[in-house]
Amino acid sequence: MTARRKRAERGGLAAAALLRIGQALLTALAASVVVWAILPLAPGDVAERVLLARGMQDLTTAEIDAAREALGLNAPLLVQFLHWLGGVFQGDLGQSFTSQAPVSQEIMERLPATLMLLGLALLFSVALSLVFALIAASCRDGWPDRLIRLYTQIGAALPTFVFALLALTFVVVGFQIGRVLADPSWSAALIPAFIIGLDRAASWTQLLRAGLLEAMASGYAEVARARGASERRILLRHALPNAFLPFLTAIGVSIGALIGGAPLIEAIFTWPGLGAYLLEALTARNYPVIQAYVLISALSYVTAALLIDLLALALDPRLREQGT
Amino acid sequence: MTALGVAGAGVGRGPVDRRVLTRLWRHPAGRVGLLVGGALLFVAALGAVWTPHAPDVPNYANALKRPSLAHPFGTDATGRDMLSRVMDGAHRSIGAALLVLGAVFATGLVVGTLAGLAGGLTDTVLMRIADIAMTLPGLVLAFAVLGLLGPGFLNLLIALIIADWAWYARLSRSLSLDARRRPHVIAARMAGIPGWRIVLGHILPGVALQVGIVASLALGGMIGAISGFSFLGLGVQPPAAEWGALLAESRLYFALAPWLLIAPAGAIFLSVLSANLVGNALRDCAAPQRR
Amino acid sequence: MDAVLACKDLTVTYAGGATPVRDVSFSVAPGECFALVGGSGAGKSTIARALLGLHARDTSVTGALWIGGQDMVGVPRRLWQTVRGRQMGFVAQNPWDSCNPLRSVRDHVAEASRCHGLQISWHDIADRLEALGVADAGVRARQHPHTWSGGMLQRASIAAAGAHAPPLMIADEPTSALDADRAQSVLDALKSLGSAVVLISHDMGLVLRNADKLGVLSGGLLVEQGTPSALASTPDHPETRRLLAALAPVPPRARRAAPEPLLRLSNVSVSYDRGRVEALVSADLDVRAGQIVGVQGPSGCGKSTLLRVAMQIERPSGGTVWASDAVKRPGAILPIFQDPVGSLVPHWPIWRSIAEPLMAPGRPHISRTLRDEKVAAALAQVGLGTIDPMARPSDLSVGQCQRVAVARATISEPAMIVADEPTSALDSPSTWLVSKLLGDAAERGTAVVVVSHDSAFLERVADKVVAMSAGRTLNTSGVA
Repeated sequence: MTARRKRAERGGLAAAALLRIGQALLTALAASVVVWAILPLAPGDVAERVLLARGMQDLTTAEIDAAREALGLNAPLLVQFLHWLGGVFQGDLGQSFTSQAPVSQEIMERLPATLMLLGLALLFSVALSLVFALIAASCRDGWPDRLIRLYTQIGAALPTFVFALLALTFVVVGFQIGRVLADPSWSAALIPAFIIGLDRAASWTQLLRAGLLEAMASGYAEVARARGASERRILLRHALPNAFLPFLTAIGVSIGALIGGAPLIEAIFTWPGLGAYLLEALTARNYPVIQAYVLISALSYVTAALLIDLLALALDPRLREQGT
Repeated sequence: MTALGVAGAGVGRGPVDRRVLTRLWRHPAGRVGLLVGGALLFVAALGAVWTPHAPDVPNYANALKRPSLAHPFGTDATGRDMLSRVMDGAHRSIGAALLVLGAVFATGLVVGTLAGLAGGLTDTVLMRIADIAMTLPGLVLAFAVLGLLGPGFLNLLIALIIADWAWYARLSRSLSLDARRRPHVIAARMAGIPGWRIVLGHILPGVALQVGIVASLALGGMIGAISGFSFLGLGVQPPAAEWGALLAESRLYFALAPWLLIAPAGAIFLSVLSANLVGNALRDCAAPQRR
Repeated sequence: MDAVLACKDLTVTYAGGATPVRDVSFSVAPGECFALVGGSGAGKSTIARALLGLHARDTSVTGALWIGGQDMVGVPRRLWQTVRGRQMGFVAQNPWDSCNPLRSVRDHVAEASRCHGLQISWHDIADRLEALGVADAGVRARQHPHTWSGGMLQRASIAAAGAHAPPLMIADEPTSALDADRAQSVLDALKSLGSAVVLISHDMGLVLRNADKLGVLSGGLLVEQGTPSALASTPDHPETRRLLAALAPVPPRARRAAPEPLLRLSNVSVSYDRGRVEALVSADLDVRAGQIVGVQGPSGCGKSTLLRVAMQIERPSGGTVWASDAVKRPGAILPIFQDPVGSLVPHWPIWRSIAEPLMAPGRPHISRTLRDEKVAAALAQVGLGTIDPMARPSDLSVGQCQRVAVARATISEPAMIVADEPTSALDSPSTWLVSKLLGDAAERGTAVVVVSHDSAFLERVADKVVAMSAGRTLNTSGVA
């Protein structure tokens, strides 16, 4: 009876996971539809801009027409989109307008650097906010709590790029720790990732601290107290798992901001990743690159959100039983 | 019945209970936020019409001066007074954030409540569009729109509005759907109150307050985002001043004049701080306080 | 000392100087059930927290508090931890709230032993649950709290509270989150453990039935104590009389000789999801002017659906609905809901919510002065004449909000009032008052349909009660 129930629960989990994966793929697809749908709004002639970006000057109408034909821009937008989509499924993201190299190849060269930096930053911010929030919640209104609250106020009021800029200028360069011109290696990623993590952790600490305090004042915490449990036991066994679930959801949302903030972060740390690649493409209006960037960002965002949903599903029995 | 005489005067009063504002002022952090924010708004308004020195006239003889009485935050590489530049940039940085938030708040509220209350096909179509806009992290969508439209202050505002409106529409929709099922709305319907009066009197004020609180909590992030895009050269174009753009300019000379970073970074810090303080305090104060 | 618990001049002082509990003295003998009864704000929960040593850090407790012969006032927190659970068990009001939602029920019970460093086998837990009346406990205890019913989960909480067989149990409103018919069996389970019980409750009826001794709290003072029979026969203090009055029958009212019919539902059915869900299978209802019709049944029996059909906001899929002209015009049927706070527009002053039915289009225009007078009269009628009409719902207690909702439903003298569980969020004096107000409305000729799971309440207020089960109306009792 229980074994069957367990199996059914697990089966439900697998079904829910499959459903979410399907939704995730659709989401990534929808994201690229958005960008293609805005394309007609873009001012100016694409073919002309491509030729200009390749350094050609004094363009004749004939040259532009020929380029437009060569780039396949004469076909209706829907056909262009389907053509592009067909390529995507074969790993072909089109050709860069400027370098004329395959976009997928250029992206694969830069993606690891970005994932390395953002992944490490994410790790730092989760670890830092966990430590800070637990310390703050365990000595509420004591001096460690006050100090941590001051840090969270300041951190939340400094946009990541401003904090990174100041930290880089006054601490890293000022005291000559680390290198400014970074090559994408784990050791070089350490300092930038720590700086990003320290800033992100501020608002996450606020959130987790509030969640922990709320859980410490909840009915089940009060009952555990009345049964003779110690404060530390209540904090770690009851409050933390319960406060962690909404915290996890908030992290999922913040990952979007982290991905979206990558160009800015990479510009500040001169990090040769995907964000820096996008900035080059933005100035040149290199559409295939922009589209590829959107697709990759959407895929990584959706993947991160999916992992977090599955984690929440595994942690929370109420979510699990809703699914079946 | 003197109390009832007073009661008559309150008919047209808006959704924001005057006591919420009183509580906001009594909230210690809220008061600090209001004071700092008010001072910044004053500086922004002042900076739009008057600055101690001309903000965008170069004076090469005066380049990269240390902070002094005449130039409290120094001068930049072309000799322009940093204080004047920051004051001049204030109305762009703060104004743009308020403008974008105002626009997404209004669009979101109208689209969301319309979808929630009309239901049916209107709801389906509007919410599918919103869903698609929400598949991307807001900043990624903003980058994509900027990439297609090209850099520029106006394009940046458009990009941020496109990136954010759907979240507010979703929120307004779920809040208005929730409000529609509230007992007081059902009671009004059964009393025979016409639909438009229920929407204006019962539903919209509550939804607007909730969405407004969310928008006020987002103000700090929006100020940061706008200065970030301008830092990358995708927003305000030179020679116009904007805090993010000023940071980018100052950054080039940090080895020679690191103090140049102080004023724009400080301005961003103070404005985001005051926005956060007011937003958090507003959330605390608007929550119903039951005795 | 002989008593398991004794307090002398127990006073609780908040950081701001307020004293929610003052000079409270009582003692509890072994095995005795001592009840503390009082209305909201009387200081009941504050005493419970003080007895457990769970008051906030900046709150001070003075006087003397002997637990098992030891004075606990001012002892370090570490000592409290050894007393809690071992010397006294605690059962809270809401059983779902009391359990960590991420853990199974047996974890919840085991935690009571584990937090004192002891181990307990799953088998022992199942045995204890079975002894308290939980069937199939070995299997069910692996499930999570949200899948349990309130009555069963409260038994699990009792098992956890009794893990160390403490001589004393403190139970704070242990049955008020449960259906009335389950309450007694849960209390019996609690008393079956043999410990002395401090039972904290607002429900005078429940307390009189269960306590060996009781104390009446009012405004933080223990104003009267004695045996149930002594207090019930010769109450000294006005608060005791007020609480006892809530048990009195609602004053009888004049009945009409031949009440004209307003609404008749016959063989009505409602199904959703293309017939897959049958909310209502076959229901009959006959409502006449000046009559109170009660609809009683467990949750999920279709009584709310029946009410929505009567309110004419749900269209039945079968059967016939006949309505007289008097209930067909808009505004003729006004509702009262279960959730008193949600019934009022949160951002409006209460006068505006009350006056709203008067302002509907189609009603004669009403001057501002007349409207204000009517609002004042309606407030006075529900016993809120001293409340400022400019107050917001958040300034009022839950009971006061419900009375405002009654004022709104009666101000325009509608043909019919439909009330959905109007008293389930209220304490007993408020319940009594709402019952009386519904009777007043019926006396003025309004028909009232009132739905509730509480049969005692319905029998007191209604002229006839329709019982429901599984989407069907069963027998009808009372005068026709």
